[in-house]
Order: sequence, then C-alpha cells, then structure tokens
Amino acid sequence: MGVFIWISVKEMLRKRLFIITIIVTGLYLALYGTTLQYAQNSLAASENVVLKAVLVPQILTAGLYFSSLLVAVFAIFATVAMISGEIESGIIHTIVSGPISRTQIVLGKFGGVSIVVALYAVALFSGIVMLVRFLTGQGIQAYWSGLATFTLLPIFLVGVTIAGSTILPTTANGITIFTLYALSLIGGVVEQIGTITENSTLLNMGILSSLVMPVDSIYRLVTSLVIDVENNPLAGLIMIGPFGAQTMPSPWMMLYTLIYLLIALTAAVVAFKYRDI
Amino acid sequence: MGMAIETQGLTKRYRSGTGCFNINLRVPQGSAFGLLGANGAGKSTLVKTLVGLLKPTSGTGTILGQPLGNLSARQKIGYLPENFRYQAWMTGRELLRFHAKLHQVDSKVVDKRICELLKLVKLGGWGDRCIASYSKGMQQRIGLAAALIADPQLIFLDEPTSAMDPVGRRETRELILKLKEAGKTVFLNSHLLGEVETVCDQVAVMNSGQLVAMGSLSQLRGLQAVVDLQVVGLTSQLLAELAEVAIGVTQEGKRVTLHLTDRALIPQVVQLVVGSGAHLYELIPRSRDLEELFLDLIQKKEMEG
Repeated sequence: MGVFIWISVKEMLRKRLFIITIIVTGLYLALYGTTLQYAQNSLAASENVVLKAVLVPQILTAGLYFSSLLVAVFAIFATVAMISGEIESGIIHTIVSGPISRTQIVLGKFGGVSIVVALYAVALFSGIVMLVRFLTGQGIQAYWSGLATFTLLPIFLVGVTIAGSTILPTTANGITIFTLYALSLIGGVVEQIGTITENSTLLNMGILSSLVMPVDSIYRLVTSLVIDVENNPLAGLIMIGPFGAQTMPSPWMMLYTLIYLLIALTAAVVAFKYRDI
Repeated sequence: MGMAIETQGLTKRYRSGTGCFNINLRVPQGSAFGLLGANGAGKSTLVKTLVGLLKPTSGTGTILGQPLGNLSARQKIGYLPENFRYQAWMTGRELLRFHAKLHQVDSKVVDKRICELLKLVKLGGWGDRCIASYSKGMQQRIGLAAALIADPQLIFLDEPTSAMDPVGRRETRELILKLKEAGKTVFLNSHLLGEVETVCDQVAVMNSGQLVAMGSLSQLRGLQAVVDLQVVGLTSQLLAELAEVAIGVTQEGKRVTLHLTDRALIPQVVQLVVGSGAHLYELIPRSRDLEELFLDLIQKKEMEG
C-alpha cells in the first residue's frame, strides 16, 4: 500500500492542478489580507464598539468559509478521476494485474491524496488564522481542534469522491459530488435561517441535507470551535449571516461523518474489488 | 513440463452476450504461445481474464500452478496491454521504478535492471524524460520494459507491436525469441500472423469468442489441406461430388483446387476422381501459410455455425 501512497503524493505534487491551486491560494490570501488590513484601519478610526466586536470575527468566519470552499474544490478535483480516469485511459491495467490487491490500491490512493489535501487544509487554515492574528490582534479559541475539524473536511470529500470514482465514470462522478456538495451548502444556509426564524421545517430540511452530505456541518463546527460563542454576549450578531453557526452542530454529527467516511471507503473497496476492468 | 497456463471451461460473458466461452487452454512453460483471431474474436477478453482484470463468469484456470488472480502468481507475470497507457507525468525511469516496487524487486538490483531494460527497448537516452513526450511507439517500448522489470516467468503481450515501426517490430520479435531461449513463457496475442508464425511454437485460433483450433503450427497445418488437382474429363457431377467433400472448390480449366478440412480426405478425393472415369494427372498437397490456415479455420467455423 505504501507504494500507492508514495505515488499518489508524487502525482498530486506534479499535477498542474496543484500548481494552479497554490497560485490561486496565494492570490486569495493576498486579497484576504488586504481586505483585512483596510477593515482594520477603518475600525481603528471608528468609535462604534459593536462594529469593532463583530466585524473581525465575521471576516474570520468568511475567510474560513471561502477557505473551506477552496479546500473542497481541490479535494474533489484531485480525486474525481482517481480510479475512473485510470480505468478509462487504461493506466490501471498494468497496475491491477500486478501482485497487489485492489483494496491496497484504493486505500493507498486515498491515503496519498488525503495527505496532500490535509496539508493544504492545514496551510490554508493556519494562513487565515495567522493573518487575522497579525493584522487585527484577534486570537481564536480551540486552534487545534478547529484545525483538526477543518482538515477532516477535505479528507471526507476525498473518501466520498473516491467511492464515486470506483462506481461512476469521471464526469458523472464530478457532477454527482458537486451537486451533493452544493446541496450541503444550501442546506447549511437553510438550517441557519431556520434557527434564526425558529422555523422547524427549514431546520429539518437543513438537518436532512446534512445527513445526505455532512460537509456543511463540519464547517459550522469549525466556526463554533474557533469563535468563542459561549462567553460572548454578541455571539448572535457575530454568527449571523451565511458564514456563522447559530448553534454548534451536535458531536454526534462528527461521529456520523466518520461512519459515513468509513462506509464510503468500504463501498469503494468492494466496488473496485469486483469491478471488471 | 509443467503448464504455465491451464484453463477449464473458462468463460467471460459480457452483458452484451459477447466475450470468450468455454476456453480450454494448455500453455506449456517455456513456450511461446500465439493467440490468433480477427478483431472482436475475444482474444483480449481472454487475456484480461487470465491476468485478473476481468472476473470469469464460469470455469477455472491456473497461472503458474496458482488459481487465477492469485497474488503470488501475479508476482511472476509481466503484462503489456493492448491499450497501453502509462502515467504521462512520470519519466520512463520512474515508471520502471514504480513497477519494480509494485513487484517488490530487490532494491539493490533495481537501478541496474532499469538501465539494462532501457537499453534493451532502445530507450537508453530517454529514461529521464517524461512519458508525455514519448511517441506512441516509445510508450509501447517502455511498456514492454515495465512488463519485464520483475524478470517474470510468464509474459502476456497483447498486440505488442501495434504502434511500432518495422524496425521496432523486428526487434520485438527478436526479444520474444530471446525470452523463449531464456526459458520464459510468452503468451502473444496478435492479429499479425507473420509475427506469430515467426516466434510461436504453439498457436490457438479464436473466433466468435471460442477456440476453434489449438496446437503446434505443424499440427494445425496437418489438420487441414489445400490440394491442387489436374484432371482430364472433369464433369459437373464430379465437381458437385468434390464440393461435398471439400469446404471450398475452385476450378480453372483442368485445374481444380480443393480446401479440405482434413488431410485424411485426400484418398477419398482420389477415389471420387478415378471412380468417375476422369483421369487424374496430378495431385499436389499445398503447404499453406498461417494466413491461409487461419482463414480456413474461421471459414470452417462460420460454416458450422
């Protein structure tokens, strides 16, 4: 299996997708830092105490939200053709006929891609947090658990996408995963609105979408972990809007996410094991 | 001598109804075995089933004494697929190193082995260039090297010269002969009859997913015969009687050419001609090349079907 982890990491680092992602991420962080600097300059001149208390955490959650989007897109694009693309091109023929089980191939590729997307997630999360810290002086609570949860997001998507890649053709897999991801984001916003308006129908719709694809719940948990909502009287204001979390997702949701990932990987292994190539 | 490949009733049926059916194959170790057949005959399906890419619908088989799909047997096989494609982002050397790791080749000998193979497939100066920059023929050559990296006992070559120029084809034929000399078993899947005729000592012919003949070239040649006759007094009735014995009859004046399913039918032909009152001046059994043999076998099978 080690050979597939090694080769997947190497492949990821050599691909144009990685270089483009690094360039886009650099531009994104530069834009984010510039915005933050200008906002901080304006806040320094302002006497509005509420604005001072709310704006920086809001910018932080916005940064984490868009970072989660970047990380998710990178994870999906990096994995969408991981198995199906190699079957379609024929690259897999000489690999599968070798003295290695198909289970090791799937898990090795999952491991290799997960390492790269996890490192990317760590870099992006830390980049956002450090920019906020250095430019505004605003710290965050629960850095490590926030980082670990944020890193789970792309790993989860890699697992689900690789499962799709063993069953569906590349294009169909890409469309399916992106649709599910969009559903999860929309469901997350619906759940936020449901919480604010205390509308149980909207709330249940959001919960249902989280069960179908729990990535938004992972993001909301990250937000809840890094922003101190328990002891902040302005928590409601800070967390209002599409980037906040009106309530902290249940810890059971994380367990559900891990079980979901495990089932996706099992499905990937079984589907690939019995697939004709 | 043990069998490198042995199958009993091996069948792979696709949903479309095509595939390969009831294949009973015996390939001795150390031989070069040629699998012939027209496009769509089921050759690649059979090879893919043997190397573990396809799961058999029914039947059994062994590779080097181990059941199909056994990992320790796969350790000893090399495979160059028909639709060969390799990781374009790798260099040739990296690809070979990857396949060496896959086959757990001793790391102490890997570098030496890679250099030898690059030289063998005439890619000595290309080892450190990306495969993306290789021509189709060069990709097939590096694929051949990858198939040989673990010094396999059994090598499956599926249309191994399809992208090569005439020089490359000749070199590949020479390489197959060298492998045979070294005691390796080569399973050559090709529709290039000349290629098979030159290097293989055992041949099987497939048509519509089934094996229609198998044996050494001399055995297969003996199976069927083309006979040229010179007959004086040839009548239409005699021609009709000959047509019943032969699978093909052509006439040009006094000369008649018969395609027989079996050499054993030649005495019957003589009896028919002599019995009809015609005079038989000449009967020459023709030595047929593999192409004629192949076409006859396919034609015979289609007539039976």
